[in-house]
Amino acid sequence: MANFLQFIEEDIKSKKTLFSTMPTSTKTNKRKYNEKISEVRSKYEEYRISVKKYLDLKSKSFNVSDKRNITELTEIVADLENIKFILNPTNTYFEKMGFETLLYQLENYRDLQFSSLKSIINELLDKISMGGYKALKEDFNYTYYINEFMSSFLDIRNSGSDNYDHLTEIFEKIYWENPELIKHLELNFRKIIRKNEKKFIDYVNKLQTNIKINSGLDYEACLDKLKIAHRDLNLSNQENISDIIELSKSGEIDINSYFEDSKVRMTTFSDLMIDPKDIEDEVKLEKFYSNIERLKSNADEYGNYVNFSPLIIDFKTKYLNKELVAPSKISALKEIDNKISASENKLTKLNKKLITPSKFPFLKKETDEKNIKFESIKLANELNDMYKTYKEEYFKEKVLSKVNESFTVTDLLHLYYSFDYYKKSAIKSVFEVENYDEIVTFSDNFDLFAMNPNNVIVCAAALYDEANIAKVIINKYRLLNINITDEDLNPEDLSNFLEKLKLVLRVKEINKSSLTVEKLWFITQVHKIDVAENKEN
Amino acid sequence: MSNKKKGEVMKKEENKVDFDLSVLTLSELINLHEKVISFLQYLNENEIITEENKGED
Repeated sequence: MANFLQFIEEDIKSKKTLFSTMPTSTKTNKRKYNEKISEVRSKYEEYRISVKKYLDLKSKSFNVSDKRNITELTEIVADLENIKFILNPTNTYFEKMGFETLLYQLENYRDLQFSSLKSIINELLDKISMGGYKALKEDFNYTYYINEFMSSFLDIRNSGSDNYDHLTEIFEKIYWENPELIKHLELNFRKIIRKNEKKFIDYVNKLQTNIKINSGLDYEACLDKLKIAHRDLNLSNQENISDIIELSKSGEIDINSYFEDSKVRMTTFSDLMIDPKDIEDEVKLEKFYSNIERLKSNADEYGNYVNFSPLIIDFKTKYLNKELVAPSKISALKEIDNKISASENKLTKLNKKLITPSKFPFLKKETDEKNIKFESIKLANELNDMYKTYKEEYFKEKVLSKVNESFTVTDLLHLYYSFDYYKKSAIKSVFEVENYDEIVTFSDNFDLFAMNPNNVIVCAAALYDEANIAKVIINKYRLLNINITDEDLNPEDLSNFLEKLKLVLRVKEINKSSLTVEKLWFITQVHKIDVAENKEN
Repeated sequence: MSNKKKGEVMKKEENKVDFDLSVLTLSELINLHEKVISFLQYLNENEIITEENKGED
């Protein structure tokens, strides 16, 4: 008995012969011909529906449910990251309370909308209040304009309203009179924060004590726990059969390359083995898979290292020069801090004349007011330069003081992770990125890399030497019969090499699963049919 | 051969067919679907456009 496919093949052939021999010269012939076409079409439409129904059922029967539950693991990692962030001994209250990140945003305000400015200011006020100080209108006395703007801002905020529409108008009006408004606002916030430093230090100390009591962890114990939690999460996040199905359906991978007799698969396997005979030995093949798994993780880490190496090289060039970190320079922070305080006192006195209502307003001269406003802005701009020096000195005292002779790449990653403001500034200058969102994305990716406690290469390999790190990887894996060359780790070729490793690991994953490459191919084909049908409809 | 006779032959042919799709391999199933689709396309393309069915689509 012929199967349905054979029947269809023969039936189509005979139908085509029939149609080619049917007379079509007269109107009646044409009608009869079309009637026949229509009759056959109805029959084949039935076939199409039945076959498609069967394909769908079959494809569905291969479905693999993704049993991974990474939510819990992600939460554990997030909690531990938070504990690490608060207990981090490298930075100060300023970074832990997020002031540096918000002030960086203010400093780079030109890329933001007014709604973002509103959020930054509210966040700063929230943090200041969380630390035990309620900022008042009179605290915003950097310039007359700042006072005008922030008085209205606080009125709206304190009224509990979220309608800042009126403020947008005030902002625009002031902005044209004093375009440096945002810069001065940043300085004003810096002043409030510096003045209340003691309160914030106490707040963070209390927070640290509570965290230690509640979690039962100190910083070191937290790092140990985080290492395990990260490893577990990485394992759960590894590509599994469900991911491979989706990759194949979306066309991100060509499933045809995964068939055992595929040239791509065969050459990928043999190219990666110094002795390709190993593929036939099951035990050796298992070992090969596990080495490829480790190599993939090392190559990923190396890829990240290469991406961020300009940042590392820049730091090395600029700061790993002992003359720049001379101890005598450290007291300069206190010096500039005193200078700023003196100038800010002077500024406060000056602005008082404008901000505080006069008992005899009729005695106020318009020219005096104009002069004070001018003087006040001039002094505020001078303070801006002083704060630039302050930020440089802060960097030297708080950041560069951590740099020593045995400073490693891991130490540098941790340093930039601990000082967001300086990390973002470095990203901006090294990679010449101007767009704020791009800087944030870069910075977030850097943190993901820097935070990973399971990085191994950057800890073990010689400092700041891409070529050496690559050599260490190559030598290690060649000893394990993995055929890896210098070219494979070339930054431009690395993604191709990673794709080869992924192919091997996907084959392993498919073999381990209830599916076969053929079933995966079938699921993909049925999905393609669905997409084509949906397009038609 | 008249159309009626042709229909009878087809029915006879169909009786000899195993319609159980589970006997087909996965690639045969996809092949089968492709053949049906492509034949349906052939039928659409080979329909003669007459004054009567013009504009039906």
